Amino acid sequence: MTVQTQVFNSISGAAVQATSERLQEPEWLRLARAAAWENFEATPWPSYKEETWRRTRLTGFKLQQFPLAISEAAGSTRRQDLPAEYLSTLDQIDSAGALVFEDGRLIYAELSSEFRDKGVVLTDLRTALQTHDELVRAHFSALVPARENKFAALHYALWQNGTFLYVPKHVVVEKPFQVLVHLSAGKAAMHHTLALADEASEMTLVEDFTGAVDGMSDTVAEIYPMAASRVHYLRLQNLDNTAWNFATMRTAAQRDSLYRQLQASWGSRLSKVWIDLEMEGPGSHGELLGLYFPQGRQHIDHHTNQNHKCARATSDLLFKGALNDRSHSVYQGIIRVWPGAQKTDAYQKNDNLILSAGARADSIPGLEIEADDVRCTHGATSAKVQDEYLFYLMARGLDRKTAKRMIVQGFFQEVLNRVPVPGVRTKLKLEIARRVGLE
Amino acid sequence: MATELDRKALEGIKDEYEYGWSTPEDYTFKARKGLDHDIIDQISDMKGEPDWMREFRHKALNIFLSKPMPNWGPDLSGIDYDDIYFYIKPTDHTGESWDDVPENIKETFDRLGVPEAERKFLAGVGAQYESEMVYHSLREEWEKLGVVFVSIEDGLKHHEDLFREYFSTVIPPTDNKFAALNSAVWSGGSFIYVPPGVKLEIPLQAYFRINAESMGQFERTIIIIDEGASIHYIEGCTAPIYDKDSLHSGVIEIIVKKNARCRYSTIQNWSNNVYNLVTQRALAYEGATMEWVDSNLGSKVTMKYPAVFMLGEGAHAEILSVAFAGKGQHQDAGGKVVHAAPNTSSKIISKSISKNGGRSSYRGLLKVGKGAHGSKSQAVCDALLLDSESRSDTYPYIEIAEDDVEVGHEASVSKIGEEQLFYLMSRGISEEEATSMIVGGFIEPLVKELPMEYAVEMNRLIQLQMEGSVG
Repeated sequence: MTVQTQVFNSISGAAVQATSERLQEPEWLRLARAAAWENFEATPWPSYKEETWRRTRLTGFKLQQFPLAISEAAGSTRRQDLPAEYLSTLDQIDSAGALVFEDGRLIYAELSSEFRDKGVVLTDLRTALQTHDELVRAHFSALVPARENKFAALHYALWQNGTFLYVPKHVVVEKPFQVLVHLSAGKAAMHHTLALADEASEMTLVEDFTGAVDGMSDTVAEIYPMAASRVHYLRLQNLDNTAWNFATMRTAAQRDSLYRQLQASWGSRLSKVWIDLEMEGPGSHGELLGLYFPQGRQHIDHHTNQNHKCARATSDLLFKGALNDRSHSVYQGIIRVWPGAQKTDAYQKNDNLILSAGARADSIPGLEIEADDVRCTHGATSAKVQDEYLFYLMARGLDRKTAKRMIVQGFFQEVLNRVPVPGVRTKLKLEIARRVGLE
Repeated sequence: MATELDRKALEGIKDEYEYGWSTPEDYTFKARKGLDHDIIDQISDMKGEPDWMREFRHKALNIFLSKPMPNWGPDLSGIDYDDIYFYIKPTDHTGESWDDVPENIKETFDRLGVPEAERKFLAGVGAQYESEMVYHSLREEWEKLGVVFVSIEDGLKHHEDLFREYFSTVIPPTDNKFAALNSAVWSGGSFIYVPPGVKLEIPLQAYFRINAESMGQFERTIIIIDEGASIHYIEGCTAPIYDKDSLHSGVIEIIVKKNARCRYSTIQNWSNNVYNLVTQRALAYEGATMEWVDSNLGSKVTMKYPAVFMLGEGAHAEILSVAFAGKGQHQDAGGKVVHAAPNTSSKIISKSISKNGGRSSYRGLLKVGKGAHGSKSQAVCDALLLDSESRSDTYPYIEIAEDDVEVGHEASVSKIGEEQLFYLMSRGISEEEATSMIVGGFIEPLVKELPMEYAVEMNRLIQLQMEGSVG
């Protein structure tokens, strides 16, 4: 490795500039990167004194130890030439189109010709910068600015590639689009997701994150459900249990739109995930679903925000987690109702099932209400597997282990029932079964 | 509920604060404004304290100066420490009968109805005026049984060993900025000891009154309830209305020993220019029960989260909190329960009402530590918003480090139901009265926990707050 490439792929100001040059980026993007890096440097390192970081410590995390995953030009692998594990993942879902990324490099892309003809765009963000410059420029970083948090700033300074999905007005795509993002060992990768559902369109996006053994993933997702659209966004975080994972996501739901998001946080040694739902248009409805099942010493931290800025919007949140071994989960969520956002109906619930005495679950649901004609409710529970339930099942001839397994699976069923893609539901079920069997 | 009679009594008062009058200042000693080590020495000198206490105060002041203001919760930027009297001594001695109390102070408490209440249904009364307790009395029958109910200064003077054993052990000065402030300049408050097995069937009460402008009141109370004993302690707080803000920052430490029981009720009705920043915490040992009944009606800003640390197996904690935030008020109240022993149980019920642009926040902690298996906890928060300018927040913190537990929290925020109003109005009740009835029903769980006389008082205060809230 030459000295030059070392500068190139280290997390540094030089790499920021080098990335812009290498990718021959337009001026606005080059400036955005430089500004983001400035922001990153100006933002102090997370301290336990900040409320958001009080329960999540980055002990042992050294940013400088991860070389950047450098993306090359898009490849053109044929489906049958893809590695078996990608193929089997792709086969799990009957999709309308798919992308496969490896370390930011797009290695495979497909899109049914029916939807391509209707104007649907599913490609990597680098390509979209060339082909749909206007759309990208208007929406990229508009929902999640670099100043959002330290990791968002880092993301915007050094991102390499990402998902770009656009569904035009009135186009209804019932089948999901599937995106696989694989990261190789020991690298730092920043995948960006930009999904635009134009007026009265329908789309479902399933993103699957894998790999990152001893690596780091720092993602940002920006989702735009325009007026009267229906959008489902399913994010399956299947990273290796040694990965550091940071994610910042925001969705702005416009009038009469329907938005449903699922966050399944299986992998990573530590996850810090911000999920923000902005209810911007009357008549919109948003749902946030979450699943986590940490084991070993995994630490999973979710921050959610249901931000009701307008009247007559509704939102509903359900995050469920089971905790094994010495794992630790943090759920912190807030429902904000702005002045004048009358007739808001918002709900928020976090349930934790504690399977081991060494596990720890922190739950901090919150409400901030500044309108009076609203209905806002939240709830949080933490409990072990109830003895009566076990007794009931065991009295019917099941052994203790099987009975416990069934109860845990039943606990998650409430979320699974609401997952809109059958293939994903099956996948989640398998993962839960696998984790229950691991005890 | 508002009967015709009540309504007559309320006429003419309308939305006004009932206790807003003041009596002329006539003090034995008034320290200059501001806070430094000289003031500490002055206080210590005036009180004739042992050296260890003087030292403790100086250390606490250093802690106070080194701690930053809280970066969360209500806006405290209006507190100007340089513009506050940290110590005012109203009289030379603590009276044991009302006749001993100086005339102008007596008048104050007469107007508050204290002597009358004492005669009727209290086991003992303490009354604090500015920085000192001016009156303390305990019925003879309880005194004979060994119950101690004196001013905190007398506690230090006459029961120094007992005092030293517990003082600052529940809430050290390092706990938070305002606990440090109180530790530095504390003055007044009660010292209570209840011997094993003694059960006080009728309540003890302390009244707190701020009279001077720009006053800082820093009472310190220690309550020690020995094994199997029980008491009910009630405190009430009022102050005049001034242009300048006053500061009240108390520290209350309670030790509830094995199988003992304590209930501590607060009816906080400070005027709307008082910053009320209180730290109160109880330790509950094996089989003990601690109950906080906390109602916050007055003050400009209140930050108060009564806490119970359950340290012994089978301990039980209950926190009932009612907050009423009117115009310009921010009630940041709630409760903390920490389960640190097996098979402990706790319950938090919080009710808040916001109107006329007021803001009420529930902030709670529910923590189950390692080894506290078999613990159960339930928290329920309900908030009522009476108009669109008001605000309600809920911030419950739930931290569970044990698997064998059952923990739940739920909260809801709503306005008064149209159907409920319609139902009552269709029966010929005016809108105002119907609203008042619904609010009364909403806070019922708290009111029914208070002794009858206080329940009546509480209902009356809520009605006062509600006057003119419709239309």
